[in-house]
Parts: sequence; structure tokens; C-alpha cells
Amino acid sequence: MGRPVAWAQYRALLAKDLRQELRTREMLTSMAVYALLVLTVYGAALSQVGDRVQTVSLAGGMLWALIVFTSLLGLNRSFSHETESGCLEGILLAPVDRAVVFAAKATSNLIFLLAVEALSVPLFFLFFLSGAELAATTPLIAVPLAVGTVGVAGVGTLLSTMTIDTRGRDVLLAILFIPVAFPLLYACVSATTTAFLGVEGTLGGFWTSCAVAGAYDVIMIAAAWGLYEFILDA
Amino acid sequence: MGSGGAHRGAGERAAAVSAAVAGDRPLAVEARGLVKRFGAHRGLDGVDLAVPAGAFLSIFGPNGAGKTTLLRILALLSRPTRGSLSVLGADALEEPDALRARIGLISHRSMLYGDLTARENLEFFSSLYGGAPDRARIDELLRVVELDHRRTDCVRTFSRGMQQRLSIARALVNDPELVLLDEPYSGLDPHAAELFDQLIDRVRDGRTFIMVSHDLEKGFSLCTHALILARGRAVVCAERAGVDAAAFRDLYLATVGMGVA
Amino acid sequence: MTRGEKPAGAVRGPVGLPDRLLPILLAAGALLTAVDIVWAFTLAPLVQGAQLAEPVVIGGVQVTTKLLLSQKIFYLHVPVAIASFVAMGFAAFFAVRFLMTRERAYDVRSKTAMEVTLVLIAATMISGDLWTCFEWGVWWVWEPRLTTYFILMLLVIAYFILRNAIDDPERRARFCAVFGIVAFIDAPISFLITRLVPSSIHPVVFRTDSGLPPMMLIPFLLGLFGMLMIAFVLYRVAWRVNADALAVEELKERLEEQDARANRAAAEEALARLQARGAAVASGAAAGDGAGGDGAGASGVSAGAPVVSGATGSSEFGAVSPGAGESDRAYASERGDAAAGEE
Repeated sequence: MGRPVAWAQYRALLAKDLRQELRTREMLTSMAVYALLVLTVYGAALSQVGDRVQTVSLAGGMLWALIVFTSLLGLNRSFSHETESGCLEGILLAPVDRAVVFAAKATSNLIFLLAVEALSVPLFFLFFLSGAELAATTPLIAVPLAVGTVGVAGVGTLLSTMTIDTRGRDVLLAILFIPVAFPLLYACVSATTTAFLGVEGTLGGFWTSCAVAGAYDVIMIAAAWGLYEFILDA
Repeated sequence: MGSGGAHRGAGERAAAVSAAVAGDRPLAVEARGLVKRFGAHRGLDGVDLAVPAGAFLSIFGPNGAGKTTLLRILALLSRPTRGSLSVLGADALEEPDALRARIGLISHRSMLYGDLTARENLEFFSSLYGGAPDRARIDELLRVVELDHRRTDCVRTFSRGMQQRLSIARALVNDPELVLLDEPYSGLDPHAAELFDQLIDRVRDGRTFIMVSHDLEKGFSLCTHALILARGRAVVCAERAGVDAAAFRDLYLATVGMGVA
Repeated sequence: MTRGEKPAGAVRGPVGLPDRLLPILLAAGALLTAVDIVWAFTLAPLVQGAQLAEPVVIGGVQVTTKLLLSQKIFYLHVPVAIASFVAMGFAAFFAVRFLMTRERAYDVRSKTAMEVTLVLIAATMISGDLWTCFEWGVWWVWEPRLTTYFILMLLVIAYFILRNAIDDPERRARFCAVFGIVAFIDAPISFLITRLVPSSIHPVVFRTDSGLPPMMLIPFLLGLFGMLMIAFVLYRVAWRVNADALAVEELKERLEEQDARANRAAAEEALARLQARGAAVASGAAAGDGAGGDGAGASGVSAGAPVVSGATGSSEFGAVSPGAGESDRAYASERGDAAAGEE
């Protein structure tokens, strides 16, 4: 199958996912509401922390915990349309390279995750970092957010395809996802926290963490790309 | 042992026989010794098949006989553990992708996206088969399945019968030469089933059909060839013309009685 | 399962070592490990504790380095850790082989290797935790090593939960193979990342386990080989258990299939009769087309021309394979379609 056709198939798959979501807004709304609920729980969790400085040092970790939880919800839902009427089989019937199916699904997941982050990150700032003294390097958190979300989308797409049609599928995705994504999480939290704190001389460490997260992305997405066909085809 | 010799002889005889069945028509599907096993469990245990082009083959059999397994292998959705398979003249195991564009599948599941319109669904599947969706063809298909008036409605609002009709259009979007049907009548009321039959008839020309069904009457009346599978093996495969319907019915009931527990 | 075909479990183990040698191997492994431990406590020199990048406060106590007796755990802990990683490597290797060949036997081996990994990882975690406790005085620190082992353990547990969640054996094997490979790739990444990512709080702990003097190296290597031998024995024993369990399961499946009919041979006979009838029904235009590939075609075309080879058919429990069944079928076709409707 030639390149141009693969590209057209990719676009068609992606467009289909986006169109469906825009029509129903099912996944986006549930993820957004869930993010709000997690922030509420954070409210209770941080209610006894009077010191703003302490909050800032926790902020990186808490932000990423929020992202992981909402991502798990979104990833679980991403295949619901496909399994509902057996549509996935309809796709597999066509001469589509399985890697293209992976790419399209991962891209649509990435877009949805970023969309929810665009909502939940400002909310996080509003609820917990108002009036806190944030370092000038704070805008740099965009980098680990981007790199991390790409990794989450890639690995998450692979794992959520496995958990279609299994018993206890929501919990199962979390069980599979969190250990596998832990290194990414670790690196991203480190980078984000460094950006929040903005301590002199730690910028080198920031870029190291981002580079490490990027390396994770490359390796794991390559692995997912190669292994995806074994999950789809019997 | 004599059995070895008899086995070889049987193979030759079977080959000769299938050639006789096909006559000089090209074979749409030719399978030899299809085995699908995992560990010691055999879903298919050596099935031979020779379906001439333009035929309508109905596959019957009890649950667990391997009908769906066989159909999925023919649809190139799964690979056999052993055996050879040639579909539409090409080796299906070597180059499945080229063949996928010439095969269509209608299942008891509609394979349609509920939140997209009928037309959007067809456009989507059409673009999977290569490049820009052929709008003219899609509109034509919608007319053929009598859903033209609902083409901008979301599939979620369709009745089951309408979804199944749209599924026919979906399966035909790439103009396949081989159409597979997997229990297409399940969930359809008699009127919808009737309509479905009419549509199949309408699009029958120049295509080969292979259908798996529990409905003996329908399956037998529609077909030109019939196959009964039991426990992964073929019990009988014959042209309908040469078969007494009552005898076939008895045989079918007897086979169904020995379904896997 | 046809006659002469081994059950999936009868495939030889990876090194083809006969089971008789296993107790010897176990004894050797245990002996080596024991020598390692004894040597560690008697002859190997006491060593400085871990070197830290900078002084740090742990458990309220400032720590730089300490001469440690607890470091002796190293002689046991690291071999077990290495063995667990090796076991996981084998699990991933078998997983790759499975995906390439789709042979169920490889799935059994992969799963068994994962079971061994689980056991070894648990031992690693416990010994690692004890070491941390003796050395630092706290029960848990999120330092690179312990964190990596913890993640590894979670990965292996996740593998088994995934196995449990899928019913279809073929799908289960495929998905677990993929996850096994992903887990094996993730493990070293986890280790590296926890070391490379600068932590504002936790020090990166460098331990003096590279470039060991001979007095320390020899017991370490002995312990390593001993542990690997023990791991291998564990693997073979577990594999034998798993392979036999699979064979039992497959036999059970076939028995259940046959429980529906009181008599196993009657089932084969009935199938044979049906095939003969099928041939009769189809005899107008096409006879025996596609009527099975295992020599059953013989009965289809030869209906009415039976080949009797002296089998008694109905009472023969061994009439499982088509080889023996052929004579059944021929015998059955000779008897015609009498009671073929009885089911």
C-alpha cells in the first residue's frame, strides 16, 4: 500500500474519531467533570497546608496525578464506539496497515488529552496556586506537559486496546498502565517541579528530565507501534 | 498401513471431485486442509473447500462446529494454523492486503458508527479502501438499499432492519467480488429479513456469496451450494441442485444434535 | 489430539535437561549460595557503606557513609536481583517466540518464567528492604533501586492480573506476550530514569558494587551462579507443573465434549455415519467434496465399497485419531444409515 493511501486512511480514521467526539462530547465532558472532581479532592487534601511554598513544591506531583487519573478515564472510553457495534472489525477488514490504525488512535487520544489539560491545568492554577509565588520559569511546564502527554497517549493506546472486552476493564487498564508509565511520570514530575520552583542552577536538571522523558516516548512508542498488530490480528 | 494409501487416494479423489463440481468455472475460494488449532484444541480440523465464482454457499452446523472460525479465515481476519487458501485466484496467506479490497463482510453486528450519518459512515469506510470516497457510488448504494431518504440521519436513529440494510451498503462500498455473511438475519423481524433477501438478490450479479446461518430454510433456499460443518470438519458439501431437500434437512438436524456440549 | 501427537506440555525444556538432573542442580545451586553467604560473613572485608552524592538527612539522622555489616546482604540481594531480571528476560524471549510461531508451548514457558520472576522479585524486594532498613534505619526509601524493583514487581503482578482477565486462551496468550515484552522493555528504562532524573530531594545513591576486589568478587560470582541455578531449577519444576496442568486441561476439555454423549466411540461412529449419509445425499452431483481432509474423503467416495480392517468400533476407547477412526468409519458405512437420527 502506497504512502499517499496510508496518509488518507490515517486522516479518515482521525477525522472519524474527532467527528464522533464533537457530536457527542461524551468523552470530553466526562473527563472534564472528572478533573473537576479530582481537584475537589485535592481541595480537601491540601486544606491543612497553610504554607504556599509547600504547595508549590507539591504542585508538580499533584498536577501529574491529576493528568494520569483523567487520562485513564479518557483512554478507557476511547474504544467504546469501536466495540459497541463491532466497528473495529470493519476497519480490520479493509486493507489498512495496523500501524496506521495505531497512529490514528494515538493521535486522537493525544488531542483529547491535550484538550482536557487545556482546561484542567488553568483550573489547577486557579484553585491552588493563586497568590503563590511562582518562579519565572513556570511557563516552561509546557514542555514536560507536552512530552508526557505524548507518552501517555502512545502507551495508553496500546494498553487500552488490550483491555477491550476483558473483565473489569477500567481497573485493568490502570493496573497495566501505571507501572509501565511510572518512569515517564517520574521524569515529568521532576521537570515540572523544577520549573515551578525555579531554583537557580536547576535548569540543567530540567532539560535532562525532559530529554529522558522524550527518550521514553521514543522507545515505548516504537515498541507499541511494532506490537500493535499482534493485538489486533488473530 | 493401508490407511496411508487410502488417505492419499482420497486426496486425489477429492481434488478430482471438486474440479467436477466447479466445472470449468474459476474458483472464487479454494481451500485445502484448513486447520485452526491452539494447543490441542482444534477449531477447524482439516477442511477443504472449492467454491466456484458466482455461487452462493450456505454453511450450516451446530455451535462450536467452526463456522465462524472458517468465515473469519475467509475474510482474512485470522490466519489458519495450517493449510492453503486461495481466494479470487490469489494466495490469501501471502498477500492478504491486496485481497482485502475485494472482499466484503456483513455480520450480525452492524459495524456502523452510531453517531455518524449513513452517508458519513459509507464515506469513512470507502476512504479506508483507498483515497477519496466515491460520492456517486455511495449515493447509488444508498438508493439500492433504499436508505437514500435517511442519508443524513445518524445511524443511532435507525431500526435494526435499517442498520442491517445499511450494513449491506457498507460491505459493498468497495465493490467486492466475494461477500461473506455471518448470521445476518439475527435480530431481524420477518419483514426486515424479507427486505434483506430482496437486496441481496439485487446485488447478486457477478459476486460470490458465502453465508453462515442457523436458518436452514432461508439458507437452503438462497444457496447454490451447501456445506455442513461439525466439530471442525465437513460433513457434506454439495450443489443444491443435486440434493433432496428433505434428506438434507434430516442430515442437518442429525448434525445439529451432535453439537459440542 | 491425534494419536502420536504429544500434548502441548511434552515439548522439551529449553536446555533439554532431563528431569533427573534437577535435584543435583538444586543441590549445587544451594551449595554455591551457601558458600557465598558464609564467605561473605567470614572472609570478605567489611566495606564502606554507600557513597552519597551529598550528605543527606534520612530518618532524622545525617548520613554520610558507614562501615557496615549490613552490606553483607549485598552478596545475596544482588544475585537474586540479577536472577529475577534474567528470568524476566526469558519470559520476554519466549513471548517473542510465541508471537512468531503461535505455538501454545511458548506461552506456557513465558508464563512459567514470569512466575519464577515473581518469586525472585519478591525475594529481591524483601532483601532490598531489609538492607535499607539496616543501613538507613527506615523501612522504605524511594531511591532508584528499590523503586525499580517495586515497579518490576507491579509489572509482573499486572501480567498475572491480565492473564486472569481474559478467557479465550489464544487471545490471552497473545496479549500477555505483548505485555511481557513491554514490561521487559520498561524495566531497564525504569532503572535508568530513576538514576538519571535529578531529584531535588532524594540523593542518587552510588553503591560500591563495581570493580570488586577478588575477596569480594569470588563469593559474589559464586552466589550469582548459585542463584541462577536455583532459578533454573525453579523454572523447570514450575514448567513441568504448568505443562502438565495444560495437558490435563486439554484432556478435560475433550472429556467434557464427550460427556454430552455417553459413549466416546459412538460419537465418532455417528460422525462417520453422517459423513456417509452426506455423501449419499450429495451423490447426485458432487460426492465428498470438501468432506474433511484427514482421509475422511475415503469414506465419502467409497460409500458402498467399505474397507474393513477388523476393528470392532463401538467398544474401542482408543478410537480417537482419524487413523483408527478410518476403520470405524468404513465399518459404520458398511452398516448403512440405520439409526443415524438418534442423537
